[in-house]
Amino acid sequence: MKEHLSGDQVLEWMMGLRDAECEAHLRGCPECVEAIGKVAAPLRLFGAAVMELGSEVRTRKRAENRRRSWRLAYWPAALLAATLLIFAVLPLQRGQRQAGHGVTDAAVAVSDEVLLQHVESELSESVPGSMEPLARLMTNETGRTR
Amino acid sequence: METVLQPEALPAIDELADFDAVVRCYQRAIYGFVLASLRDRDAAETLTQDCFLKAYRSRRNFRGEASVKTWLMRIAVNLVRDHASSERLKFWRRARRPDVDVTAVSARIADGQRSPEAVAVVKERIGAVWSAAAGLSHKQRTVLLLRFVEDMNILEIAAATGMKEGTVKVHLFRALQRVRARIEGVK
Repeated sequence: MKEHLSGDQVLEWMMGLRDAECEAHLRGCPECVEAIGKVAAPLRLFGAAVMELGSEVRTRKRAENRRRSWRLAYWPAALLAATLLIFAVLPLQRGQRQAGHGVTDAAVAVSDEVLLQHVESELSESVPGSMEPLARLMTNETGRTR
Repeated sequence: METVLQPEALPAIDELADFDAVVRCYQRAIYGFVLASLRDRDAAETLTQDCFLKAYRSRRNFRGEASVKTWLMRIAVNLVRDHASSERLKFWRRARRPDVDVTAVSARIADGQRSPEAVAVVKERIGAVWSAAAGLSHKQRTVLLLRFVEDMNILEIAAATGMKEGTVKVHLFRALQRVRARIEGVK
């Protein structure tokens, strides 16, 4: 084969349709090798670039797994922290509630005492003379029922 | 460090016995193919998972007539085709697609050449093929990706796509014509 490879033959070569005659010609023809290289080189680079992009699926997945494992690692710690917080806050709240209750109870006791004293003083007050027999009767009644 | 198995290191049909290894081995290729076909990262991840799920469910039907890679590619090609046809009317999605920029990885694959000029040349070349591929028909793009990304031969592409050998040749030839025209236009 003395003539150079045609444009179609260059493409056929790249498609993998190679015959012995072309092969022999290419061995001694740098021009045709260059013609093939002009198309083959960008395609080779393109193939490598796509494969490089293909590797990102693994990188992305690995990053995702790492994030997930971090999240998993954080869970027990977060749970522990939440439990500790609950145990720390509950007694405080209970104490406050109890302290609150204590104040209220004391206030109630004081007011009860005041009321009782008031009632006793009213009861011990002398009644008008006309009502004295009734008052004595009431005292006797009360004493009998008790 | 994660071990990535090489397909050649695994025996033919027994490959499916360890499905985790199959996923590790071909995930990158399947994802790359789907991503380059659809240019949509989310869809590519979903379809890659779907592909392996389908393969796992039908693994007992695999007779080993084709290689595992060809078999997986066939599933992926069908998933991409179905997805592309269902998305045809969703313009908003289509508008969203160019979120994948294949030229962004140019610096990483510049064959060890670190100069900005070398990276720019690589980026330009990759960009030319990328934009040419975007303008191809679905079938042309599929065969182009299988040939030049997955390094499959005509027979393997025919097996993966369900097309006849002659049809694959025609689509691949036309795809290459468009790519060459684009590359020459860039220069």
